[in-house]
Amino acid sequence: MAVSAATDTATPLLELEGVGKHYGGVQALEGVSVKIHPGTVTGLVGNNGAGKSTLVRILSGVNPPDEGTIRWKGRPVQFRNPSDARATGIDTVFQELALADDLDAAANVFLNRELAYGFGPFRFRRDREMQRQAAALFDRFGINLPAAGNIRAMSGGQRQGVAIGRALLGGSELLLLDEPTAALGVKESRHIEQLMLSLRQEGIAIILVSHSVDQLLNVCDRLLVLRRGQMIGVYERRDLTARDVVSLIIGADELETDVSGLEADAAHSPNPGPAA
Amino acid sequence: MSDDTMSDDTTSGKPHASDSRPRPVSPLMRVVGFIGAQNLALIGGLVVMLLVIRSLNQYVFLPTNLVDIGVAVAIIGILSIAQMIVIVAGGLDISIGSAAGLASVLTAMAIAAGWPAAAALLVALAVGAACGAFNGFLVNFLRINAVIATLATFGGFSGLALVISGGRSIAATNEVFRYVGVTRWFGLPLTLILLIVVAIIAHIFLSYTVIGRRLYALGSNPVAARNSGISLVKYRMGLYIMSGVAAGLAGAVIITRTRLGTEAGSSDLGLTAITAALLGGAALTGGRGTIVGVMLAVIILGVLNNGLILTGTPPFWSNVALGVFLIIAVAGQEADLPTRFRGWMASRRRGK
Repeated sequence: MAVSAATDTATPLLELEGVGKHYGGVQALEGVSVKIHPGTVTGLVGNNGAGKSTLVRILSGVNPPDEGTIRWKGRPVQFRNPSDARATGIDTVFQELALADDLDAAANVFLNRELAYGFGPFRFRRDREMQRQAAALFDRFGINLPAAGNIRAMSGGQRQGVAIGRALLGGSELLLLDEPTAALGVKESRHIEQLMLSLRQEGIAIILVSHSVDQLLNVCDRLLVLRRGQMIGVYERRDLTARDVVSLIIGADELETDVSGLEADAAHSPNPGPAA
Repeated sequence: MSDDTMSDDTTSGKPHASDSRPRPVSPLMRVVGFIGAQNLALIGGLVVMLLVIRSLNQYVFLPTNLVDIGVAVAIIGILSIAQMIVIVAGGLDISIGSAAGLASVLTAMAIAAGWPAAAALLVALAVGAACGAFNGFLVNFLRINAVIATLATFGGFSGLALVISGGRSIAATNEVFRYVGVTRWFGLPLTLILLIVVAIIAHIFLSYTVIGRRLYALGSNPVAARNSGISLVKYRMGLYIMSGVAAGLAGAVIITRTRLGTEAGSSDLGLTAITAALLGGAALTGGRGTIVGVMLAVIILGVLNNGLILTGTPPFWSNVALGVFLIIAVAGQEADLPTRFRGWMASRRRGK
């Protein structure tokens, strides 16, 4: 559980300290403390009901936390709604993508941020300029799709790319990706993983919710592990094998009793890592 | 939300559409792409209809008859354009014709009371705007489904017009209104010119402005629109007020033509406007529709009514024809002819 010196000294982009949330008498999340640095990918893992969704909802501004502090670039912040979070620089790309199918990719990227001239109701769009800038944006982050492309004709991965492009145009520095590849095929998933790595290269921080051990090991720098609403810890990717990840998710003691299927899963990983 | 999943089901996943690379486009496809397959179908239908009518009656292409058609479509054209914009943004305004009737009655009363033309026109627009604002209130703040809300006001506005007018038509003689009704510029009736101006403004607005783009987004996926920070309440409120103002304008045009303010027939106008909007390619699920398409549909309906008169068909058949057109329009949309046509062209190219 070593934390590298470089990431420890700089001011983190996002810092959570003792963040928790309860619904009625049920403690859904407790004691989450983590520092997220620019250009890192943090995997958010845990079984169903571990508190992943609760944490995502807190970070995306859907539900404010009951306890703990959130700091953005060292400054305490509060998100009362998703717009607050977005204005701060955290954008969430949800599982069900919200794109307007009848608009092209560039129009979706620039929706409610249209480039235009004129005033009041007579603001005329600069469609060519929006196309150009969207294409440049896609190009810069390695999102492989046509800016004038019809959303209806796009695959799930391409739609994901448009949604991510939208977040990037808004100047987001931290992207919350909630199971971005859950509905995608293998090839498309690889594409999104590549995209995450190139975003990381560009200094974007990513929090990735995923159930794929493969994917977590492929793209993450660190894993934040939740179990039954508790934070178990933050683990460096390089210290982990696929088997470790599985046992962290479900709890080591439970692994003993239900090891057969999971070991098969772990054996398929192309990244077994150093022996633990 | 159910809206956009529905449209997803009907149109996504066409196998030929998933290729993102640019493909060579034949000149024919370019023409089709520019005009739009749906509009081409409308033009084809119009030509066939004109030929059939011509074979039965030789007067159909006379300039005076064409001008008659133009006069006849002015009112329904204005209402259809407004209806189409409402539908594009994911709403529906069944009450638009009734609001026009109510506006015509109150405007006629203002004229009968000796108000000047400008004030009477303002009454028409204000009554329409009030009707639209009321619809917007029902949809936005009481959160009533647009179909139910405007179905209620469809009856409500008509009833109100009947109560106020005592069920009679109100005579309204005003020099300016009369002038607008009878004058022609460049051989075209003023009311037809008014429709053309409204259509051009609406087209520019929908196709080139920020608000136009957002209206399509709103109809296409309201969740996406809201997530992007667009105020649904603000836009929907403005949408229904716009529709009401168009109804008020149509109410004023009714007076220029008949010199009467009346409820009679006005509620039918609202339904015809929906037919024209759908026939013109607007999708009830929102997000799709063009002014060019709706204008073609309006011309088709105008020619149809005119043809029924010229061929001596009992006018009651026009309602039957309207119903048939509505079914053809919606069935055509379900079949997604433009996409099928593209697929057919693609398979033909591959076959060569």
